[in-house]
Formats: sequence, C-alpha cells, structure tokens
Amino acid sequence: MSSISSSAPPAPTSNRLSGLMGYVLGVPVAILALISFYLPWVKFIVNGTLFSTLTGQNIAAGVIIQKGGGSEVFRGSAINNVILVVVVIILVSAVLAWRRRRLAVWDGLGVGGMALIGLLVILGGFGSAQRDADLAGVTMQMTYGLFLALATLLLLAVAGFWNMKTVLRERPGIKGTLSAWGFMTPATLLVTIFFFIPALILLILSMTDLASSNFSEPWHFIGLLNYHRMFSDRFFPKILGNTIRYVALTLIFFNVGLALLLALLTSYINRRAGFFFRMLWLLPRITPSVVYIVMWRRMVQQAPFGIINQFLGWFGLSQQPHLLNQHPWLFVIMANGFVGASFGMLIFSSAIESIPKDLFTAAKVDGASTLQIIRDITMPLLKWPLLFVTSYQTLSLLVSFEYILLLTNGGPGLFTTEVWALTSYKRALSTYFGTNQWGYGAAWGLVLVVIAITASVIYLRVFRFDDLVQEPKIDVL
Amino acid sequence: MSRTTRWLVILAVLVLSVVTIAACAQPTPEIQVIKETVVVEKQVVQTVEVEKVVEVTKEVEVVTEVEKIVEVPATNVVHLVARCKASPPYENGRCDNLVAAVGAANQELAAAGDDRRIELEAIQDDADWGDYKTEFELASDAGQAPDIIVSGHEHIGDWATAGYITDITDMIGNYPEFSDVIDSLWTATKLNDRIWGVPQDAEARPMYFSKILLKQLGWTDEEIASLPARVASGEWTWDDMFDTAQEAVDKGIVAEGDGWWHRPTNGPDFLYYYYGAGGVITQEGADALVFDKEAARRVYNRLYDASQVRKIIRPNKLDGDWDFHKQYTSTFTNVLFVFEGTWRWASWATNYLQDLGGEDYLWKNVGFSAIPAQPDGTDKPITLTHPLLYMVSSQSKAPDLALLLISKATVKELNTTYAVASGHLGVLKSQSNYTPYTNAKFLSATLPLLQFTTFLPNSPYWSQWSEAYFLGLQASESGELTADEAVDLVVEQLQNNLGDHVIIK
Repeated sequence: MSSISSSAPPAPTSNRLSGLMGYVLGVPVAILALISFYLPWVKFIVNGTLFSTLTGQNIAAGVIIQKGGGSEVFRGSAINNVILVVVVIILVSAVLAWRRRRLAVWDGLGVGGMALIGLLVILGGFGSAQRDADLAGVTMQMTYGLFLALATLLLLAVAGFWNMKTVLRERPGIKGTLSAWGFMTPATLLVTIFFFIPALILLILSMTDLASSNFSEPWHFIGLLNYHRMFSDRFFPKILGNTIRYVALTLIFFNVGLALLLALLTSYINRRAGFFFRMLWLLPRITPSVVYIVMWRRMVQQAPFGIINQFLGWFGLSQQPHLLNQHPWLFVIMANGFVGASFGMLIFSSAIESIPKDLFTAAKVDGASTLQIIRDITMPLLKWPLLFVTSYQTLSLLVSFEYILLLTNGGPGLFTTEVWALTSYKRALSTYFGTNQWGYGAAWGLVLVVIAITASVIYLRVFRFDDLVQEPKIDVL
Repeated sequence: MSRTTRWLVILAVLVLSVVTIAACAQPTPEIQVIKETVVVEKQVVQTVEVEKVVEVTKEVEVVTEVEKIVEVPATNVVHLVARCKASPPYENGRCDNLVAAVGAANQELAAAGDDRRIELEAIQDDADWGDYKTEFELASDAGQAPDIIVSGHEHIGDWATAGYITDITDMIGNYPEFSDVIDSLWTATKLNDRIWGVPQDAEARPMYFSKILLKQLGWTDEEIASLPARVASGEWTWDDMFDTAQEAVDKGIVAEGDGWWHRPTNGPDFLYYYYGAGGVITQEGADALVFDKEAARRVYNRLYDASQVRKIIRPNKLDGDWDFHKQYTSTFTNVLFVFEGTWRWASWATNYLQDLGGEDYLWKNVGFSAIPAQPDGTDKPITLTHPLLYMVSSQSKAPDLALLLISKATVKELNTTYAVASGHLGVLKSQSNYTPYTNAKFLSATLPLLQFTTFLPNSPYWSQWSEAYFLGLQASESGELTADEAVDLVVEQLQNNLGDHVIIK
C-alpha cells in the first residue's frame, strides 16, 4: 500500500497475485544473473579449433584472438558489452521486484519493458559480434547459454506485461497516468537515445586512450589521464576564455540583442515592410554554411583581393592588408551573429504578434508613448521567449564551431579564436596527419556537456522556469 | 480519445521502437550468404576441371557437359574498390591508372587459367588528408574498407599498427613489375622491417625563385642560372636566401612580408627545416620519436627572425589560406622565394597562368633548386619526398587480385602519364630512359633533387609530434613567443601528449 501514491484512489491489491508474480519474476532473474556471469553465450572457432568462449569473466577485458601469425586481431568485445548491459538491467529489475515485496503496475511495466530492451540489446549485440567474427573470418556459434538467456528474458517480458494487465484490471484509475506516460515515451526515448546514451558513451570514451592506432582493439581504460592532460594544457584557460567571449558577445549583440531589436522594429513599422526585412534577415540562415563563409572570406580577403578592399579602393581609401587577420574576433562574431539573429527575431516577433491588441489600445488611450508600451507591456510579456532564446542559443553557440572552423580555423596565431567545441573536434577528429585521439577529444567534449547542463540549470533558476510553466490561474478556478 | 485508442497508440509506439531498434542490429543471415558463396566456389572449381577436359579432348562427345558449362558462369567476377585522394584534373591518374590496369590484370588471369576477373570501382576524393585518413579508419571499423587505398606513406604508422592494411612483404615477389620500383622508395613503405604498400608517386619540395624579381635586384642572368648549382654545392645557404629576401623588401621590390613564403598550413615540408637544422626524429632501436631541442630552436629562431626582424614573411602566413597563397605566388611578381612542391608547378600552370602562357611562363620566369643548407645545422642542401602508396586493406577478400591490379598500374607507361600530368616524380627505374618521361622537361630537371631527399617517419606518434612542432612554428612566426619559449611550449605539449613515446634531447 505504501508504495502507491497518496493522491491515487485507494484500490484493492492482491497479495496472492504479488506473491506468485514475485516468484515468477524473481527466480528467473536470479538464474539469468548467474548464467550471464558463468555460462558461455557464444563460442568462436578459429582455424578449425575451438579457440575461446566468451564468458562473464571477460567483460572487463574484452577478448582478442590472434589469428594465424598474429597479423589479424579479432575483437569479441561487442558481445561482452551486451552481456554487461543486460546483467545490469536484470539486476536492477531483481532488486526492484524484491524490495517492493509486492508487485505494483510499475514493476510490471518496468520489468517487462527492461526485459524487452534486454532482448533487443542481445539481438543487436549478437549481430555486432557476428560482424566482428565475419571480418576476422572466424566462425561463431551460439551456445545453449544464449538460448536460455533469450528464453528467460522472453518469459520476463510476458510475465511483466501479464502482471501489468492484472493490476490494471484491479485499479482502473491508473490508466490515465499510464496514457500520459505513453505519450511521454517517444520524447523520452529520443532524449535517451540522442542525449543520455551519447553523453554516457562520451564519459566512458573519455577514460580511454582510443586513437587511430588502437581503433581496432578493445578500449584501454586509462582512468582520468585525459582530464589530467587537458587541465595541464597551457592553452586550457585561453580556450575557455575564448569560448565565454564568443558565446557572451554573440548572444548579447546578435542572437538576443539584435534579434529583439529586429523583432521590435519590424513589428512597429508597416506590416509588409516588416515581413520583407525579416525575410532578408533569414537569408544568412538559409545559406549553406560553406557558401556563407566563402562569401565572408571573399569580403575580407587579403589585399589586393577582397570585396571590402575593392570598395575602399573606389573611395580612394588605402586597402587593408588582411582584415580577417587584423580583427578575427569581429568577423567571427559577426559571421555567427548574422546567422543566429534570425532565430530570435522570429520567436520574438511571433510573441509580439500574439500579445492581445486590447493591451496596446488601452495603453494608447491612456496616453502611453511607444517606448513606454515596449517597456511596460511588450517586454514583460516576452520573458518566456527571452528565456527560451537565451538558453537555447547559449547551448547552440557552445557547441557550434563550424563557422569558426571555416573562417579562421581557430587562428590566426596560437588559438586566437579557438573555442572549446573546435578544440574537441580537432583533438578527436581533425589533425593534419590524421591521427585522431577520440578518447582525449571526448574528455574535452564532456566538459562542454557539463558546462551546458550547468548553464541550463542556472537559466532555469534565474528565469524561474517553474513559475513560467504554471497553469494559468484562470483555468484553475 | 477512448481507452482502446490510447492503448493502441502506446502499443504502436512500442512496436515502432522495437522495430527501429531491431533494425539497427546486424541481421544474422550474413552467415548464410557466406555459405552460399562457398558453394558457388565449389561449382567453379568443378567448372575449371571440366574446361580442362574440354580443352584436351575437344572433339570428343561431351556435348552434355559443355551445356553444363554454359549454365555455370564462365568467370567469377571479383568486385574491387579503390579509393584515391587526388586533386582533379592533374592527379586523376592515381585512380585512373588502376582503371586502365584492369584489362592487363584480367588478361594475365586468363593466361594463368584463373577464372576470376576483376571489376573495379574507383572512388576519387579530394578531402583534407586528416579527413581522408579518418574516413578509411571508420570504414575499416565498419567492415566496409575499400580493397585498395592510395594514401601518404606516413599513415602506415597508424594503419599497420591497427591492423587495417595487409603486410605484403611476402607477396610482392610474385609480381615482377615491382622489381622496377626505385629501391630507395621502399624505405618509405616499411614499418618494423615489413613492407605495407607499393610506391605510387614521389616528388621533391624545391625552393622556387623568381627570375623577374632577382633581375630587379640587380642579379645577372649568369648569377640566376647558377643559383641551383650554388645551392646544391652548399655555397649559397639559407642565410643568403634570407639576406636576399630582406634586400628585396628593403629596396621595395617586393612588399613587406613577401620576400620568402612557405605553405600556409601544417604539412610535411616543415620537417626538412628541422632535418636541415641538424634534428633527428627516429632513434635506432627505439619505438619513441625524438625531439631535438637545439635543432628546433634553430628553426624557430629562423622563423622569428624572418617575420619579426627581417619582415620577409607575413607573421600570419600560417593562416591556412591556400587559395590566396596559390594565386598570389603563381606569377612570381609578388613573392621572391617560395618553398613549394613539384606538383605546384602543374597547378600554377594549369589553374593560374593559362592567360600568361602556362608552363612556358614558368620556364621563362621561375627557377628552382634544393632547399638551401643551414650553416648552423647540417650545412647541406635538403628536400623531402612524401611518396603516396597503394595499400591493400586487410579486409580485402582478394588481396592477391588487388596487388595484381596495382602491379599492372606500376608500369612505366601509366606511371609516366600520371607523373607528367601531375608534376610528380616517377617511381620506376625504367623511367630514366623512357622517352616520354625524359622528354618531360620539368620532371627531368627536378629528378636530381632526389639526391638530397628525406622522408617523414612511419610512426603512430608522428601526427602528434608534428602537431606540437607546428605549434612552435606558429608561435615563433607570429611573434607570440620567442624561439626559446616556443621550444619550452613544444616540449611541454609533447610530454603531455606523447608521454613515454617521445625522447627529448
């Protein structure tokens, strides 16, 4: 009873059901945990002889099979990772089922769902191990251990859903909650797949020395060495400072500042003219990045070339040797800002359009000036869009580096315009001679994730997100 | 929404997720495909035997058996994929030569009674080296590597270590064409005394000088004509080059910063500065790379001197702007001395000087020599060769066919066409007396530079060594650090990034 939320209507629970389900779920879980660790799931046959079986003991190490004269390396780590994931899932389920003593609907959903995911992970991982084996020309065979594991997971899935069905019948009130979760699931899945899992992989990757020369081997864990390297790099403070400068200046002057200005200006002029100017400001956004930066580079090209230099020549002014190298930051921020301003402009102008006209009319009747209307009516009502644009654009700018890469590549000179994301990209993926250090790059990347999350939390606090998303009082009444 | 509908929606979402995730998994039927292939191979083997019977007893009544042969495919077509990094149009020969070699390779297979036939898919790419290399690594990890990859020899360091390419040491003896390859070039194909690729091209990286600007400085035709020889003998040194460049700047013949130019990005060139300054990068018996602080200090001093004191090079020359660099240097009326590659000759002539007369313009106004000696270093002229190699992926199902194809592309006719078009040097001994090659004036003229040549090291640590060394170049040339500070920075970076894999001397 205690586990049921107090706000839900009381409902009869079936101890008989719980007891039975406890055994149905708990016992296979225990068996599965055991076999996962101690029984082989697949075996590999190299050159006609059974070379090795992969068991739980190999999880941490991964397995390398030297084939022939040692020239071919076979990596069987995929299946080990799979086993690890499934074992964790099962253990969590088992603990859940055991702790609750009785099985509520969440146990059913949770255990059933996790069992399903486990099944899929096994299938995916099995395919991946199969691919590794094919590449190395090694025969892979399933063993009874894998069949047993699959069968048990299937049993768990069925049992879990059956349990849920029973609980549903006994507690009809919970259906509303369940359907809410149902609608949340796609978004949750997306965030999980495209944010949480990559962040987790990034974390794990950052503790390895994965690089081009050991890409074909199982990951070597080196603890926090990459972080030590990163923090002891003398350019660390400079790159951090560059990143803050880039994000702050672009945000203040363009992505929020100019965007707000454009939105206000285009809303208070002739409507058609307003549309026209907004459309103009969208042009940088819809131009492909490379084309856009090529245009900038042509603009500021070194003398005797360069469009700006041409104009200077026409007006009898002296040509600038190389504008981009003289004022790299100016152009980095302008190139990014011109692209970024349109986003905020669209959001703000639509927000302004949606403010009820009566407010403006009333203000005008009371004799308010345009500036007063903007200050006292428009701006306060733009708080939510301001929060959204500021936080969204901060995060976008933190991870964006493509325009800088194309414009200055972090130069001129030593890390002059190099921002965090660009460093991470260069370490992980782009050096002249192409030796990539994915592990080290991941460490730089992870810091960015931490900064981004911290910034989001601060924004949510400062703008009091909870207040903003509260339901309107009028509906509550 | 009714309850049933809600549940249907949830169910649909679940089913969709399940199907999506399941679709990500590699299907197991791959094994069956392999098994089928094996069966086909068996049939093929039988076919060959039957063919032999037919050949021997042509007139005998084996009509039914002949019909059977018709049913089975006469040949077993093997699909090979080759990937080449090449700048169009002058470097197209890297892949085109492989395509042209397919016929010869298939003829040889037919003559040998081998029923396999090569079908080649050639993919040309003009990505940056780093991207190109990463592409091959990711493809290899995904099991989709091309059979043949044409890439810089220094990539052996990573690729052989990771097991992505085939050790061909014991196989090259089977292909007589390879004995024609210039012996010294095999050095660049080795790691741990094993051979990992076949040289595709070579080049020299000379010092180009503007005859136009030297004349304006008051040099006589004789002085200009004898410059390559004076450089080769070590009489005219790097210091003389800087003095001349400074004189040109001081007299206003070239603009400030335009006396001497090098490439605008990192690249193999900068290693010969270090070699010329007396630096070594490898050490007998050691897996680690060497960083010689004194040699590096000399290099950094030179760059600091050039940009900050003499003002003969722009402080931000390393700004990565290739377009400007190529265009601005092409006429040799702007920059006096240019350190470039032999391939740039073709690039200047084809892409920038068509209106001025193309290659004839270059011959008239531009000279070239080895890179001058550094008196405080080795005191010998120098250059560097960066051969590209044909390498065979370890994932290739038919490495013997890949090598056969490479061998048929490694012949003087095809290699000469490529060399002449691209301004690269030939890789074959027989080219030295092959008329189309000797007729190519530029190639004959640059060939002697090979006597001063050096190579990049084949090492998995080279890339990081080079990145750190390059930081020092940027720092000293931009004037942000002095040579001493730059050396400290590089040592710090090397130790931080390579740890035990670098020996600081």
